[in-house]
Amino acid sequence: MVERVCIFPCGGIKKTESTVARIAAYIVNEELLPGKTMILCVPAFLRGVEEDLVMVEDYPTVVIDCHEENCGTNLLYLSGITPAARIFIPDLAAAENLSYGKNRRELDPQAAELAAIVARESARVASAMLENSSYQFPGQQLNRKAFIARGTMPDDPFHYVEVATGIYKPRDMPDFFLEGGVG
Amino acid sequence: MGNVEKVAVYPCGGVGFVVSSIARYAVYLVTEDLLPGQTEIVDALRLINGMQDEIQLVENHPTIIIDGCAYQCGSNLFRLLGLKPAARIQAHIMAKLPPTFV
Repeated sequence: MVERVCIFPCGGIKKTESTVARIAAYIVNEELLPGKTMILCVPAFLRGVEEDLVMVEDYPTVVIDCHEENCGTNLLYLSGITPAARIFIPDLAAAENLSYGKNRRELDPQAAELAAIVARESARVASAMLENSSYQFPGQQLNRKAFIARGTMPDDPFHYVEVATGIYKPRDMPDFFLEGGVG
Repeated sequence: MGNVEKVAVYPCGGVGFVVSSIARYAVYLVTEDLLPGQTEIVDALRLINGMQDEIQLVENHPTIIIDGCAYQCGSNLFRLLGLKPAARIQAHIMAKLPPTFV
């Protein structure tokens, strides 16, 4: 069991799906689990703002990857942080047959519906960590001398295991859903 | 007219303050409505992950940074990467927030 969970929407800006990830994080943080979640701010994290560093070291991070480029996952990998879980938007979009739309400023109706689903699934994972008394989060330690923008990245740095549609767990991190269930 | 074909624009891209959403929205206005084809958004995540097209964008074109607050995360990312922006906009000053706003 943990007190709070860090939600990390990929932080991209070019793709419509990154807006889906960001809006989903706002829904989790403001509506579904207020006071129990924090949003990781990538620029502040890179800037070394203390609260954003503590966020990923002391609390489990749910990363929301919006695209196969896996920028959220890869940033954590570069930083020496293993996420507690990963939400992969393309899987949820395919399962629900929803499109990202074309509007990056304000989401089109289907993309807004998708953001609500991504938020629901992210909150389901976070709730499991918050409520499962047997869940033990192993604290993390940042790599403060990370090399960035070098262009070499493993395909699957955390050896993700899919635990439900669009929801993944790094191989070496503890289960969050209760045994035999998917939250 | 100079020899610059394209200008890169990098908004702070944060999620904690409304002013970061304003910076992000402003960049969509620039790249989609005001100067389409002549400007391109810098995606910090793709840059950090070392994607070649993103690296070439900031190495080969002048970049305007839009900082959202006094943390100046946009400017600091460039400093971290050893890059110099061509110009900087401070959105929080335009929003009449104090220069120290964070």
